[in-house]
Amino acid sequence: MNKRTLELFALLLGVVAMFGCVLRGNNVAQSESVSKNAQAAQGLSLEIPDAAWEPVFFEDLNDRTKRAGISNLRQTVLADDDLEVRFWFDHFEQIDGVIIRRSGQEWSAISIRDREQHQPSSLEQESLRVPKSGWEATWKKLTSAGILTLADGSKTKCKPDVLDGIGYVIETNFNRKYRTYRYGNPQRADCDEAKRILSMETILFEEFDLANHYK
Amino acid sequence: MSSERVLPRFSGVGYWLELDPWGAEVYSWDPYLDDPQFSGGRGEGGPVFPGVGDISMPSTGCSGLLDGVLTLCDFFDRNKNGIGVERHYRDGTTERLSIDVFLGIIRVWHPGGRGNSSMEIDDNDVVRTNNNDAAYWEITYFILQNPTPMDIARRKNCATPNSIIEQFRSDFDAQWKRTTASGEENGSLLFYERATNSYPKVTLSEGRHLTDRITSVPAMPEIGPETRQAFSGFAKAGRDVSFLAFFHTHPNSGADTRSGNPSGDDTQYQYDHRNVLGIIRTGKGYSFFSNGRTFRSDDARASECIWILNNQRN
Repeated sequence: MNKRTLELFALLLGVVAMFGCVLRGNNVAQSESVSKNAQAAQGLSLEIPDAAWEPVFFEDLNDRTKRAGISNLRQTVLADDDLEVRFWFDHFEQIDGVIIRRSGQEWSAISIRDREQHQPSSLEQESLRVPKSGWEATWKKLTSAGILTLADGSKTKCKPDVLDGIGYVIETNFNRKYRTYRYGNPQRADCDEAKRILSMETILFEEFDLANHYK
Repeated sequence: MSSERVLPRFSGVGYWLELDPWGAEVYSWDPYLDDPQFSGGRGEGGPVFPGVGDISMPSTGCSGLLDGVLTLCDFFDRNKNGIGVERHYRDGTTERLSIDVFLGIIRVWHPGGRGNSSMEIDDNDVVRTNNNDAAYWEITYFILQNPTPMDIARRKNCATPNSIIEQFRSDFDAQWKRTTASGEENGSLLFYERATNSYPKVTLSEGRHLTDRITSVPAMPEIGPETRQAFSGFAKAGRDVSFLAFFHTHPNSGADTRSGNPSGDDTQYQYDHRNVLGIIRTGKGYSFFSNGRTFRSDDARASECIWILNNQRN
């Protein structure tokens, strides 16, 4: 092996080493990115009741929201001060609802209306105006009613035996915690939780003048 | 009875239960070929095959009497002695035989010797042949080629979702007719009473629409108190019953048919009553749900024992 051959071999090794470093750098960058996403997903704790209604309802709901381009709230990690609550009216096979969001200092709300009372169905979205009492006051009313803290109805004694009828499903995503719970036919229940759910419904209807939206 | 009459009626293929000299079954065939869901035959831990050794269990579904004796299946009455059947061998050949029913057991007589051998009469007037096969009785039973839901239920010795529909179809259809007329839900509770081996039914009062600020939807708001009342009534009468299934209708929405899926409240009621089978009638027909999950009549679960489904609680 002469000197020239050795030089060529050294050069080749150098190129291979450099190429390897570049590849490795890309891999590291990629794995860091994946790691960040995983951390972000892990950053959201989920509180989902082990109840018979949950998979059945969300199968129906997710089918509708996916078609309407609405994200899955239990897979959404919000910034620290952001929040989102969804209040769903479960009318047998018709699902209507209200979504309230706070992103930074910006509040917004939309009403969701199911076009059909049977499947397949599609959702109609409409922006809601500023609530009558203002965003902060309305949010305070809802939290006072227990929107962030109520337990699932199936875990309480607040569950009247009724087939079909009207259910209320709430989803909240706040402080990196996702929760959901349901109360069926609270109009027919005599318990504090049922009163709180109906109180939330009243707050939403009065503050956002929902009666006009659902005419 | 001629084979022409019987074979098309039952579409039956004879499967043959071979017994050893002690009367024990030798298992010469595979029941799973006909029924992949075969769960071991009759309930109560009884023998796999009806007609041998356990006709003392009236709940087997084969409770017809023949000369005062519990008979294999109720369609085999005394008048059907001498039914013609075709025996299908695994090599593809068939043999037409006649059978009779004796003491509740179907049997086939095989005379000794089946060849075309010559027969001789000797000097002492004794008939001699070269047939060496001994004559014997063969015990058999039937598997129907296209079993109805009731056939399957009989064989499994239990009510299945499909057999319950067959048994209560006229009543359920009448409730659906009432629903289409009123737009309200109707329903029933079904129980099993072991003492009488029967399925008592409690008809619920017709439902009504419940209304919120957005819309009005059909519901069965009284099912809770009526369920408690039904249990209380049975208890007062000293009747021991098990809650087997609940049936209700989902009315059409205008001209549109609703799906046969349970609502959140339907699944909650099911959960609160130990996964009791749910049956829904819509404009599209019948559907079932167990553990909140819907299945149709062509699903294997629809031919499963209801008590097994109800015990498979998530």
